[in-house]
Order: sequence, then structure tokens, then C-alpha cells
Amino acid sequence: MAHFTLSPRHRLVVRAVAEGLFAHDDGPRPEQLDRVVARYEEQVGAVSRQLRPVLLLALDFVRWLPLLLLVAMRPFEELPVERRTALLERMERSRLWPLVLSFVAYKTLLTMIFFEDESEQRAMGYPGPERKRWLTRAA
Amino acid sequence: MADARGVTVVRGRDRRAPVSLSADVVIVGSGAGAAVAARELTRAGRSVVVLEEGPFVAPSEYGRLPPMGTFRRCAREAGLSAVVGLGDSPFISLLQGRCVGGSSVLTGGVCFRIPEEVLHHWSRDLGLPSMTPEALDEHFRVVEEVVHVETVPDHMRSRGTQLFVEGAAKMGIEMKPLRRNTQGCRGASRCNFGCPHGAKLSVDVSFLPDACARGATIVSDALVDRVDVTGGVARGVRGRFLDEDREGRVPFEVRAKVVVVACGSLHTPVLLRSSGVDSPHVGRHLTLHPAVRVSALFDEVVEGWDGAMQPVFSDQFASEGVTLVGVYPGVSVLAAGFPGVGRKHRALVHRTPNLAVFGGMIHDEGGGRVRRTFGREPLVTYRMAPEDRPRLVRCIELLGRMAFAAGAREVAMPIFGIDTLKSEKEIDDLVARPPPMRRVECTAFHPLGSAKMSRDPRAGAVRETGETWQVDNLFVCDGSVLPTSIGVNSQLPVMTVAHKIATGMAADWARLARRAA
Repeated sequence: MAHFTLSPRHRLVVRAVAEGLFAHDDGPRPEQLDRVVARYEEQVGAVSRQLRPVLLLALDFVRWLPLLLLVAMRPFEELPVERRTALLERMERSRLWPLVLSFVAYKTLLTMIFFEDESEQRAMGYPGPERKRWLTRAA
Repeated sequence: MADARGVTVVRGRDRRAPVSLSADVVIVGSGAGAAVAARELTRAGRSVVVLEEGPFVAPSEYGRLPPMGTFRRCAREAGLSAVVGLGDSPFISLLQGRCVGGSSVLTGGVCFRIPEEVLHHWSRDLGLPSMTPEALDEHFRVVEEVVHVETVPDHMRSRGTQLFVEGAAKMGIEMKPLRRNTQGCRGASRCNFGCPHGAKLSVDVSFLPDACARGATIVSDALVDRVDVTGGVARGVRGRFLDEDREGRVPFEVRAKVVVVACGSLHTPVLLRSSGVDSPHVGRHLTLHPAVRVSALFDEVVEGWDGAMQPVFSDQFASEGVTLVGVYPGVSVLAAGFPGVGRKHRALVHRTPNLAVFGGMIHDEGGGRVRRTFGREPLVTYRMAPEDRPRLVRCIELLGRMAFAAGAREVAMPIFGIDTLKSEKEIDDLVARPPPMRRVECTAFHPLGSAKMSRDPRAGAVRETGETWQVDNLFVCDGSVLPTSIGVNSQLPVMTVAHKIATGMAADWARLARRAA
């Protein structure tokens, strides 16, 4: 757990997927992407030695998807962010089950990590851990 | 040694030299079944060692961990466990605990008794005469008292829950308050990431402290490789202490008169098979209660996070194999479930304050199988039974219609690759042309039945007493012994059946000890 590190190649792909998934007018910011990569590394480091290669293989699958789908002759991380977003949308709607599965696995994991960021939670209107409703009984 | 709320845990990862222990009973696992067994056996005067593969995480830490941090520390495969769907079956995300307290740390705390019609089926049709509502009543009562089962009060229903209840009422669906094992709930809506207020009485803060007070030894980071069996009688277990990298380098053994396997429906079959129990029923008959949820967007601000995570349910469709259960799984989890990518996804995420969520699960027929692999984790497959497919569609349909009846503007359905629905007409279309099951976004929290009890060895892996048919003094004491799915959350039923098995062992101790001599 403490000793697993992603290869530089896999870091680039995770970062590129996250940038495509969360692209918007003002971001995501580089430090947010750094955080996603770091948390992803921790998550993969915490899984078994059986599951870990499967997750990394899925990353390689995404990496070479532009070639496999004849979209571009470059790996995923070298595409402009708009094309990455479009490719991810295509994966989500695909009829090919391996594409959908890879997409869902990475979207779920990276989205949960990305939106644990306090600034993102504030931006979506989430006030944090404080609650009011339980006090109605105390009152 | 680590201590919190009366639980003293020996951390296996700190051990540098081989360890040999002896006890009357060694229990493999520390979750809902194991903890109950530990308490009951220590109360009967037995010396008990509890071995947990996962780490000890003090309850005081739960509130400081973000959801993914909790999964990294407390969940098997860091929360990324999954069941591979075969044929037209969903790919199912499966949450299992891997820490002291097991999955009870990660449940929503929902407590149901086993429905009477299920128990009638077990006792009458399956030939299990001690599994009747009357025979289990006292066991339920004891467990409910220890974990403080209480009804969720109306004022703890979030606005999101209220909206779904209103939608259900318009459809003539009755909602009932749920019961949970809580005390002092503040409605943080994050029960499944460990209660930050210590209000959920998971077994690490209920049964295990009592067992500890009576002398039980709890060891974390202790992976059991096999049960020692000599002359057809279980004699103890062997394994390795895991370090922070989950590598096992320091061996241990525990000699015991009785071995209780309680590592859950996925790992109990693995350990039984590794130990030479080769019944064809070990690892088969796995049921999951596949579950779905819909997210509904309203014009009003809902703030669905402010309230109990799971406050109400409906059993009105139990005869159709569908149970509807209120749920709010946390904002980052919800964000992951929204369709779309980039700006489109972000626009939906930013409407989270207007979001209400409701869930449901099906009482499935089984079709799951646990297989050993080259490593520690099993391969779990699931071939959804043909009769379960319309149940799942019905469940999704009901949830979607409830949302629109409540006034939702848009509804995100648990189906990969489709946009949010804008009208009930789109639900009609969905029902008329159901999606392939493999496109349905499913989760599961209640794996059961992979070493089921039976009246004879041709039909199951263990006797009604929990003892395996093949090896004397080897008991199974977790959800894997339940002979069918139950259609309701399984935490309380697992604890109750464990209580029945453990009290039976205590009553029969003289005979078990003679066998072990």
C-alpha cells in the first residue's frame, strides 16, 4: 500500500482522463489534477495484487483507444482535451461492453476522488459535515 | 495494542516473530456473524481468539476519513470489488468490509427481521425445523437489544426522503419507517463510510467490546490460510500476519477445540475449500440482492444530505420480489452516478442541492458463484436468473414513477449511457423496451448463501447447527449459511442466525470438547 507507485506513463493517462472527464470553462486546475493522480495511486495501491493489473490494463486500453477506434494516430493523453472529452462520451454511449465497462470503472473512481475536494463540494452547494435536522428533536 | 470503546486489539502487523496461541474457540473474521459468536461463546465461559484479516481502525477515526479514504482503510479491494455478470447480467459493484467489525462498519445500519414467509419456506419446504419465526424470536430480541435497534423518527427524514414519500403516496404506495442499530444519530447521511458520531452500533462498538471484556483476544491483520483438520475434526488454524503492504511474512497458528469460519459469503467458501472441504455446495448458490437507485432533480432546494441516510422503506411489492428503500449515498458518490462528461456532467453535479435519491433491491433467485483463484481474492460471477430481470426493471420503473409523481423535473436512471429522463412517458418507453441487464448500474451489499445450511449433505454445506457436514467441530457462522436470499437487508438476520449457532455450540460444548480431545 505504502510502496506502490504509478509508472510515469500511467500517471499521464490518469491525468488526461481526469482532465477530459472534468473539463469546464475554468478548469480543472492543475493542482486538482495532481491530487486526483495522487489519490488514484493510493487507491490502486490499496487493492489486491490480483485486481491491480486489471486496473492498469484498463488504463492502457484507454491509452490506445484512439488508435483502436481509428479516431487518431496518437495515444489518448496526447489528444486535445476537447477530443478526449468527446472520446469519453463515445465510450459512455458505446454498444461495446468493454468500452462501457472501462469508462464506468474510471469515471466512478475518478469522480468520487475529484468531488471529495472541498472547493468542489462548496461549488456544488454542499455545506460540509454540519447538519441541522437532528437538532429539531433536541430543540 | 489498540483500544477504543472497550475493544482491545492486538495488531498483527506489529508482530515480528511467529506466534502460537491456543483457545477453546478460534473465530475467523470479526464482522456481524463473528462478533456475535465471540460474545456468546465468551459469555458461556469459553476462551476465544478472533482473527481479522483487515486492520483495526478506531471508531474515532471514521469521521476524519473522506469516503474514498474509508474504502481504502476499511473495505475489501478499497471499495472496488465487483461481481462479473455472465450472459445478460449486470456487472455488480459489491461493498464488503475488511477491518475489525467487518461489513457492519460500512452498512447503512438497516435492521429487518427475516420475513416470516421466507422462514416458513426454510422450515417447511427446505426441512430446517429450527428456522421458524417462533424459534428465532428470542435470538432476534437479544441481538436487537445489544445493537439498540430503533425506529428512525419522522423528523430525521431529509427533504429528499419526504419528496419520495409524497410521490409514493400519490401512487398509493405505503412507506414505513425503517429500524436501524443507532443511538444518537445526527443524520450525517454517511453511515456506509463509518459513522462520524459513533451513533451506529456496528459490532466493533457493540458485540466486540463485550466479548473483549469477557476475555476474548482480537487480532487484526491476521490472514488465515487454512483450517487444520486431523481425523475429520478441526483442530485450529494457520496463517500469516499482514504488514502495511498486505504481504504476509510472519506465520501464526491457533490451536482450538472448535473452529468458526465467519469471513463472509465471498471468503468463507475460499477458506473452506483451501481446508479440504470439497462439498459441491461450497461457493455456489450465492445471492446478492442486486440494488439500484434513481436520482431525481427538483426545482426546490432539497439538501438531501441533511437527514438519516436510510429512513423509510416499502414492502408493498414484496410479492413481486421488490423492496423499495430510501437512501442518500453521499455527494461524491452521487456525482459519480450522473450521466455525461465534462460541462454537461458538471451542470448536473451543481444541481446536487436539488437532488433527491431513492433506492430499491430485488429478492433474487441466486446465480452467483465464488471461485478460488491464484491469489487471495476470489472470482465472483453472477448469472442473473431469468425471473429476476423483470423484477429489476419493475424496481427501476417504480422508483422512476415515484420521482415524477413527487414533481421531479428530471430523473437520472441507473442505466449506463442514457440521458436523464424528462417525463413519465420515457419510463413507459423504457418498460416497453427494457435495456439489456448488463447496462443496468447495480450495487450489492448482501452476499448470502455460498455455504448454505441444509437438512442433508446432498443439499448444502452445513447442518442446521452451522457445523459443516464434512468436518466435525468446524462451524460456519455468517451470511453464507442462509439457504436463500431474504429480500431485506441482511445485517440483523446474519447476527441472529450467528446467535442461534453460537448458543447452540455453547449448549453442546461438552460433546464438542470430547470430540476434540
